[in-house]
Amino acid sequence: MHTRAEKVAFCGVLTALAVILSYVETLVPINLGVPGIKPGFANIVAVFILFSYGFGAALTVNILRVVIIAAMFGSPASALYALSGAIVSLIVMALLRKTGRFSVTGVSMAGGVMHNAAQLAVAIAVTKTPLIVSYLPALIAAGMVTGIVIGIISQLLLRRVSGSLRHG
Amino acid sequence: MRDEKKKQFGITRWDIALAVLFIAAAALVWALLLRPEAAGSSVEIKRDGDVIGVYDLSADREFTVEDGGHENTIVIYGGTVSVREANCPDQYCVKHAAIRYSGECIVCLPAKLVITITGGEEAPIDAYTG
Repeated sequence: MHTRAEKVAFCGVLTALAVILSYVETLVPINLGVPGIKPGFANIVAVFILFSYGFGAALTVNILRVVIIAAMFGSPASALYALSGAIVSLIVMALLRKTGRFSVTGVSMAGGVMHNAAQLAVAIAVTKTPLIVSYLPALIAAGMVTGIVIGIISQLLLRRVSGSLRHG
Repeated sequence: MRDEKKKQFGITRWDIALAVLFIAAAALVWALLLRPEAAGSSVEIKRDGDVIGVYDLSADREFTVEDGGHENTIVIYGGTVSVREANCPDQYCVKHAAIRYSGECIVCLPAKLVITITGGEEAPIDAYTG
């Protein structure tokens, strides 16, 4: 098992990795006609930490990433959306993981969907326009696809890396 | 340990059930909002939930709505509405395709601006937006 110092150091490196993944994503604009759809590769880091170090570490790294990215490239408004999505999806993923009935991919899929749903809920609250719930079907579908892709990547990573982490 | 890992890495029936649930939820919302595409007659512009302007779609025009540093230039042309220019960081409203059917909307989150086509055949969701 890791010492506390090793865990802190490793989470620091992973935070840097998550920030870079988020940044790279801002360089490749994707426009599918529905606002806010993007791959969310930084969530590979979130899922990886959730399954190797648990909820607390994953939440800390994710909040740090969102705050750093918002400070460098975004606005307080973009941080609000990103934080709501990141926190809600992590809570749901942690709960599903606790049940022990879902695979990494299944947990990640739920995380993707809840991420988008939470952001849409914030958008509805901010604009006071229930009508934009019409984006929900597209956002659920997109969240499933990105969540599954991220889940598969995270699963491959966990299988190869977490063993050496625990014993190395 | 080995059993726990196996459970984490193989797709389980719970994964499938959850996927089906999500698809059903998406389909349900989609079906509830489904409506015939009726061309609208006017465009309503809301900021922060308050209506700040209603314009007829039959007259072509271009105008800028401005508030607290947010500027959005809205174009009405041939019965369609689009945002030509905006000073928001994400530009989603500018990239959005022109809207023309009742109930369609363009949202600019940084400016808290919602541009909605109204009139024509009533969309079912109107009951909720009041």
